[in-house]
Amino acid sequence: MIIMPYHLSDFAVIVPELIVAALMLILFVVDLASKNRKKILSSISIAGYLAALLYSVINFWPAVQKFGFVGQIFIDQAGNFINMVVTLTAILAVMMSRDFLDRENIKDGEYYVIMAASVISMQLLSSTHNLIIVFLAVETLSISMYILTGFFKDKEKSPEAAMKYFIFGAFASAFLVVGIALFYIYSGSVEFSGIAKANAEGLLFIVAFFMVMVGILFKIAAFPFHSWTPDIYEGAPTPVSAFMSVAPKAAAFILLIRFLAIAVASITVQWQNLLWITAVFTMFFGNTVALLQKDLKRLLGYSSIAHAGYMLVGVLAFNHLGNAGVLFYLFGYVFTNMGAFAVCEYLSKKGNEDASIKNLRGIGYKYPAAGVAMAFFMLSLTGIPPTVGFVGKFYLFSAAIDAHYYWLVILGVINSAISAYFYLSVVVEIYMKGDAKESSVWLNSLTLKYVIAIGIAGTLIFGILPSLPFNAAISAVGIL
Amino acid sequence: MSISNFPYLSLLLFFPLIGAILLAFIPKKDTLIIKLFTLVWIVIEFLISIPLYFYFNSGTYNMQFVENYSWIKSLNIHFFLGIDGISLFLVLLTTFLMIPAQWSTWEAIDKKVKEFNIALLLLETGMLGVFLALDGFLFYVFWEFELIPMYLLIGIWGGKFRVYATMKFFLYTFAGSVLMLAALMALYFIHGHFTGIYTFNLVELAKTPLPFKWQFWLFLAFFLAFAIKVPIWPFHTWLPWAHVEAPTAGSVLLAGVLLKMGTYGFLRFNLPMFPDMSRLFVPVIVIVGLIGVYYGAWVAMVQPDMKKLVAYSSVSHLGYSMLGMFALNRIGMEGSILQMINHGISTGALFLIVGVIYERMHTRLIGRYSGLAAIMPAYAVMAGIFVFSSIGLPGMNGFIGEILILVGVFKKNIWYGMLLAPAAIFSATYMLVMFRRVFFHKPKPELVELSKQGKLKDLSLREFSYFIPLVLLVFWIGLYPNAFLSKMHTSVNHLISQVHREAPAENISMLTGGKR
Repeated sequence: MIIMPYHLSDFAVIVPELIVAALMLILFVVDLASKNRKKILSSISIAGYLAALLYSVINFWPAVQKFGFVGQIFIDQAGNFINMVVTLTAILAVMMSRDFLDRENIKDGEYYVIMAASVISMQLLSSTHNLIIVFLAVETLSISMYILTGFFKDKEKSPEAAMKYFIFGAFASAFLVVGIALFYIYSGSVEFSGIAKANAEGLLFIVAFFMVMVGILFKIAAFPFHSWTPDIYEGAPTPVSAFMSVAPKAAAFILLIRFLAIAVASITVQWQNLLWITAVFTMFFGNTVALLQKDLKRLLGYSSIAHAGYMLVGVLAFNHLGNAGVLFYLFGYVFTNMGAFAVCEYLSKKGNEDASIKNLRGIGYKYPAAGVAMAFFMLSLTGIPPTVGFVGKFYLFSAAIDAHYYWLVILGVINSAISAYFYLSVVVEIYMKGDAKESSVWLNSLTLKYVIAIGIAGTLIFGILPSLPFNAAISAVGIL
Repeated sequence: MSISNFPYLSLLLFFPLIGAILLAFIPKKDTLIIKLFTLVWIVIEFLISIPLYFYFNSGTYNMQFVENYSWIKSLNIHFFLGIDGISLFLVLLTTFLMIPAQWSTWEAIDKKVKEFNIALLLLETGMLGVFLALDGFLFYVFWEFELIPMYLLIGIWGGKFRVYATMKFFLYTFAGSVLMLAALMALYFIHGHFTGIYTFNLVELAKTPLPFKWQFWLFLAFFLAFAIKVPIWPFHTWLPWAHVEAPTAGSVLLAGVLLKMGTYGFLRFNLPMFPDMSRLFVPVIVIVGLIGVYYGAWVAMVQPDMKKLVAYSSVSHLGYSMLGMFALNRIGMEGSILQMINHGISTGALFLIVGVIYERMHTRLIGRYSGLAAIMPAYAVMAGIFVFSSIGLPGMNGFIGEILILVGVFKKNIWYGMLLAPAAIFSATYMLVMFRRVFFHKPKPELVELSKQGKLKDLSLREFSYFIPLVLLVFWIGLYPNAFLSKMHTSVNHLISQVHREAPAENISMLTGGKR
């Protein structure tokens, strides 16, 4: 193999990654250097992610794909869009962690460093057409996530969740890597465009396709690779669950869209049939099992499975509207889901991650702002206007209608109706079941309140005026 | 006043919302200020809506007071408001009914007063939005939005089984409306494929009927959503629960306005957009409508609970409305629209009547009362007026609506008319039996005792004053219906002509060809 010399210009395509990498190093040094810091690491993290976010916003236009590193890594609008989603989620997650870690006596040095590592891997995942880099990024992401999940070292559930996640994850990674190897054997390439040139008739191709899909669908938590989600969400520290429910999915979805649109475009009909079934089962599974949940974090876990199902509907539509709908949905999901987890954390007791829905009883009167916020997030997740959740679903389902997936949309909206039941049960608990227990303690954290406020603002504003992010998403999916 | 340049309907639409936001800043403890503020606010809102009646041009079927701003460009969604002769009176009914509804709660609602009034104001914006919106997307937004305050009204301030009732109400309606959403999107794309115009503009969509195949499916989806809302038998099971458990104001608005959204939906979507299917569907509507009329009346007859009785009478009355509408002639349609208004007034008032006695005695069981006429004479007179208005006594509003519907149905098909006509007997029966048992005979001793103790007072001035405008309307519509009908003629005629169009030939291969 020839070693190509890198030009300085190559690094222009990985500026967001470099910003976060620099952040990571700074966090290391500060963590070592200052013993007597007061939550300074979280401030540095927020500043770093904000810089990366601003970079993606400023460099969003024009709509071109800039390649670097012999064409293996690139930056484009879709990548920038996902970068925005990921860094925004990271900012909110850090804000949620700031006082939480302090209260729970978790040492925050490694925590923020590992979170930064995961952000880099997601940025990388959204800016490549090369399966080897995909694998690299997926592994970095997974390992960071395993560690973050297990961060409650002295609790029972957290390491258990990490272990479960690790075992499932390792399994999925194995499939992914074998799939990549088979693609290489069959087509002689690990790049999407190279795979696309291969004859798609061969059995090996189909096997390779299935194996790679297992890896990706695992990250998305689609049926039948969803089963890890609720346990992990329940066991992980709440900010980590929140982070995990949004950011990795965003990165995995753009990967899925690119992989399907470019690498395996020759078997579109087949993958559409496969994904049709997956989407329907994902939606139904997530929503029906959520009906039985008594724990809020588990409920949000199942709900996130269902939402992945809705987004698969958009992927299936396989048109600009659908892909843009997925990006928009992810964008809106940041505000709604982070907000919901933030309220969940706000009402949690020290050392006790019990997030039973019953704890919400009467909070609508005791903490009116938190009550309204939670109710509002639940409405957004159900998809009731005027929220971003409604607009997002509207885009996804319109795209599917445009692609003549009438039955899929009917099943989708039926799922929406099913989901109304459990989301509204939360509202019932907040407002209609009498008064709050006297001793519900809440986490007094200013940044956490900001997260809730940002969540409400985003959910409402983009629910009424969705054009700005949606137009950006439409432009972004022009080039994949 | 230059009404044409000013965004009048936006003002009307968002005025209650502004009120709700302002209300949030009033301290919780000042309940009197909160109640007074809300009342004044909705009275102003009503006054704002009155000029619509006078400036309304009854000579055109075009939308009036139109406002049209681009909202979401990528899907050609507009913020498009306007009214015609069909929605005019529903808008006025909404702003009007808010007043007695809110006024009736001054003593009945004693907990969480602030939240209650905020919910009422939000509900008003939602309800008005449904009637004013002329963009399908906007319509849907308000259609769903209005569910939330009603869900809270029933769920927080309702009776014993309020959570069950409100969940049932919400899920039923929501299930119907998500299918409508799917149909709305399909309508957008199919209409776009067919005509090249991708739009949610309801006026535009009604201009070009689709080939029959598409009319069929879309009609059914919209039918389901609206049938649940009306509710048409057999989709009515949520209604008695919601009505009985809701607080009085909630029941008034639910019966008075929310149910009309369903019938209005038929007039705005099903009839003009799917004319062939509408004509074909007439026998189905006639059957379920007749069942509804009779079933509602019969079930009402055996109810021991007054509120439930009134709730089932709604099923019966709205069956009339559906029959009149699907007579597909002018008389029936106008009767149907008038019946919607009448039902809003009479049934709303009857819920208020039940609310008055419930506040005093905390029971609505007919068996617990008798001879109230002797104890509460003014109350008895009021109740009598609305009972007779609901039955349809000549000279009162109910009569005009029912006779127009009956004539319309007879014109459509004499057998339908023959089947419908005897229903009037049953509606008279259940109402009069209830009236007799509650108000006549000898008063029960314990009622007399309570009255002597001063616990069972006649109508207070406040209660009296919110019944008066309702009484006036009952007689106004009853004696001079032309004030209302004359504004409808042109729009109704236009709608009729739309319903009698033929479908274009089924030749769009791009739809079937592109189908996977």
